[in-house]
Amino acid sequence: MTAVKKSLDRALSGVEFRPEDRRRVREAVGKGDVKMRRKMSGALVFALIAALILAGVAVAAVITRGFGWYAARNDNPVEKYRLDQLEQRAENVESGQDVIMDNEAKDKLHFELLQGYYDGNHVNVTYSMDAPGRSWDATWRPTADELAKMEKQDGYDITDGDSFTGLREAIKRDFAQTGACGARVHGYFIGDVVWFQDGQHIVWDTSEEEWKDNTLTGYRNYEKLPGQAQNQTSIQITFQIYSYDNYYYKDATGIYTSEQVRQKVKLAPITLTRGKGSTRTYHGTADFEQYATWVEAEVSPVDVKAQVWIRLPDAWVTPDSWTHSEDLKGVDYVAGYHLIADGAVLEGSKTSEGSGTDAIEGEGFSGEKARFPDVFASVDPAELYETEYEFRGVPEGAKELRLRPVYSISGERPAEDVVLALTEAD
Amino acid sequence: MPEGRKAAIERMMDAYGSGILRLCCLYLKDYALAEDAAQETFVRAYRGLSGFRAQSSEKTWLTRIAVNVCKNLLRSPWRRLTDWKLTPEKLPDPSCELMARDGDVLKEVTRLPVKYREAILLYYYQELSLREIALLLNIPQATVSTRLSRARAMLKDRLKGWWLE
Repeated sequence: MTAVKKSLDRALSGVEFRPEDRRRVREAVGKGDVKMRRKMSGALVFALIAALILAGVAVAAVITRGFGWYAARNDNPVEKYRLDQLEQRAENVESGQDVIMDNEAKDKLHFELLQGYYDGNHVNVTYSMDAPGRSWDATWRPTADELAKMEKQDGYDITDGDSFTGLREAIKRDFAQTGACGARVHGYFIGDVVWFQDGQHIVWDTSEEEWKDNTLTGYRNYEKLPGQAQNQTSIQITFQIYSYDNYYYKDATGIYTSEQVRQKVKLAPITLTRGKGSTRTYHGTADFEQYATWVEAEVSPVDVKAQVWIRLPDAWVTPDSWTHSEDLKGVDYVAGYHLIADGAVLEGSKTSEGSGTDAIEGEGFSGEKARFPDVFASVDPAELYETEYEFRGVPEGAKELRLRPVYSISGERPAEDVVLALTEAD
Repeated sequence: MPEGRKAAIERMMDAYGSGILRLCCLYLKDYALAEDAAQETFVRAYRGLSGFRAQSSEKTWLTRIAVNVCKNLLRSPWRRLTDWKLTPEKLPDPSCELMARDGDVLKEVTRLPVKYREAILLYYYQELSLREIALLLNIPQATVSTRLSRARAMLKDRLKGWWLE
């Protein structure tokens, strides 16, 4: 047993899975759900019972905040292109659901999935949620007991102030006048996870959300789907909504916060039909005097995600990783890649010309083959370094992709292109 | 499965309940939330029992579920904006005598950024192998090594004179 484990076990020796915890597990197993959040002050705990979901009311509405709206205000060329493509390809789902929350006011929320795109490998959505019950109360002050249970924060001021008009001003005014201020914020958020019928779930990769007048709008691009959800004619996805109360208090001794998730409600499943376009996977290799490269690229009209494994000369490697660093000043090394489709450069968000000093953050990839493509079975991945790149989608009908290395000093080297023929996916 | 699902989950709660709860506590830096996470871990384990084909040990399987539950909880908007701290005072009274620097170890391990904390907890606290951690987190084994090495370097500075191994 390590010294760390012994030390942590001593510090945590009073932390035991108690009969109360077991009872809750048994109850949840019996009922098919887990009751969460039961700590905090008794004065703050409200009953958590069931939620009523009125499902499936399709509302015909003009989608004012679809993928195209987000594309128009996005500065990242890859994300902008992806959103533009999604606007053209997504299905207008417009599936609305009402949710009545289990609180005193019986807040009624309305969630609507506006657009959805399922290409067999990925899911992208736009949505809106009306939550008229969002509120704040700047007269709230903790009791001594409640304050003792709050977390003292260092250099941290109230969160979410911008999305609750007037809150920040109210607490500033109170603090200036009385030397203390506090607030209880009651709000809602949509869980980061989307669930599938078999219980598997994925989280989003990129997203944007905005509250305005108690209406939340946003989009999400999710990570790659689990195997069973891939390449279906349609899939069903489920969202979860959380209600929370956040507590904030500030006086001369510091800033204190606590939070309580009051309730979580799983919405009714929504069906997405497989749309136009698909993601296909291609592999390529290149071997040169100084280094060798293996590439797996997921290619779609929406975006390209390229995984690059590279065997590096020692001169390109800093102590722990293959990365831009002062240590490599003066060394001409592969600092990124450009992607070229039939002669045209496709913008990337992680090339040497893109994000500057963080362009490469390759970490060692030795021994474990779990993520190394089977098509390179003869290659020993020991000592390879791995990086990921993202580019805008490939125009339909393109015949060839070239991943072109860009050196830190000498720039592009077309002679070292990794060529992917877009004839048949591997 | 030779034993019923309920009997299996009872046995697992006996064997791993406190360990999973402590892991969640270190991961989330919040005892109350950790209790919820540990409970949810066993509920998910119950639901997933039929899919458990003993390709990994029970402990590794439960650890994987617990890590996923904790990660989801850390994604809440409030959590992302708040730097929670775990100190012995925020935990139930220990049932054994603490040694001089136990509080420092707890503080410094939980101060690590989550990806380094995760590596330290899985390797040194859950005592999983590099290979098991790589499979559990779905990252290359070398990435686990790199994270461990960086985490050790951070702890070395902060815990001078204290040995990890």
